[in-house]
Amino acid sequence: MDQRDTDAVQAVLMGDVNAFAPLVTRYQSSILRLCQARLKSLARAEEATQEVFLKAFRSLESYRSTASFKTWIYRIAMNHCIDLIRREKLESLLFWKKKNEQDPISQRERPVDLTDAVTEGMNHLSGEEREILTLREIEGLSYDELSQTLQISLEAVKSRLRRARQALLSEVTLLSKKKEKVVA
Amino acid sequence: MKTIHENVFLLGDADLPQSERNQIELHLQDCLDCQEKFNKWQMVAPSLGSQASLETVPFLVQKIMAQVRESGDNSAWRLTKWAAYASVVVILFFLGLPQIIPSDSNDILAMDNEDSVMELAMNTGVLDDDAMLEMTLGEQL
Repeated sequence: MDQRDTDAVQAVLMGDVNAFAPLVTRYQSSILRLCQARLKSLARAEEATQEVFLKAFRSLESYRSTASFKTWIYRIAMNHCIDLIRREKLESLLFWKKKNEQDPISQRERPVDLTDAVTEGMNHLSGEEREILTLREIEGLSYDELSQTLQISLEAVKSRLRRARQALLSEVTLLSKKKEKVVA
Repeated sequence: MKTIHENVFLLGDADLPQSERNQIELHLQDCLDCQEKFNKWQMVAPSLGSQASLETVPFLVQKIMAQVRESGDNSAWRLTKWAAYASVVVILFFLGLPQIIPSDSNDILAMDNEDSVMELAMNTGVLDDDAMLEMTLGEQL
């Protein structure tokens, strides 16, 4: 638990709205990446990030300082993204819309190097797999923090992580083979 | 046995319990497939970490804080408004109370029929003559 976070939260609850700014500065990139991992689009992720912070600000009174602010806000972000995806699915069912959600990165013909292959590989994974890889490999959450954020057991964390890593490795291998064929 | 092959993906994790790590390392010594998988993953993982700096949104903090401040102002204004309403209701209640409550508690016991209630209303000033006339005419119509 970060003492700076707890102090900032206390200050906001005492009425100092500006004390929320350090929390936004500290976590905006993480929340943006987490939303992007789920929503697969930077524009949608940006909008979702703003909504997540607003939600967190409005429900700050429900935050208990015994838990880490980081895992608390990550959970808000994840639930918000799940809500958005559900709503979009419902809308597409209602209006018979055929969505084309391809990210510009995945529209490229072939990956240039390993980083590109990983980026493209991530786009081929499920939302759940992208989410856990983002939280672990990019945000650096521990098993315990993952367990708290995702609200699953430690064994489930390990199992999900194993599956996600294996899936990404398979995607990257597949993309590399495709690239080799194109080059040949 | 299948799990031990899959567990190779967890070997690089610092928070993996030592007993599990020993088990995987022991397995790695004999399994070429898992050695290859582990080596490949070791190459991919750093690229995944470097995704962190790929995309940024300019002025995101400012945009968020503008919305937060607006939300804070709105809730403060809402709170003030409700506090003002509550104060007015309380003041009105206390101002009106002496006129509604009968001065003599025996009067309440006397309210055994509609006429005595009306009489009490007249005596305590809750209803004046005009209001009584209107009510009587309304009943007759």
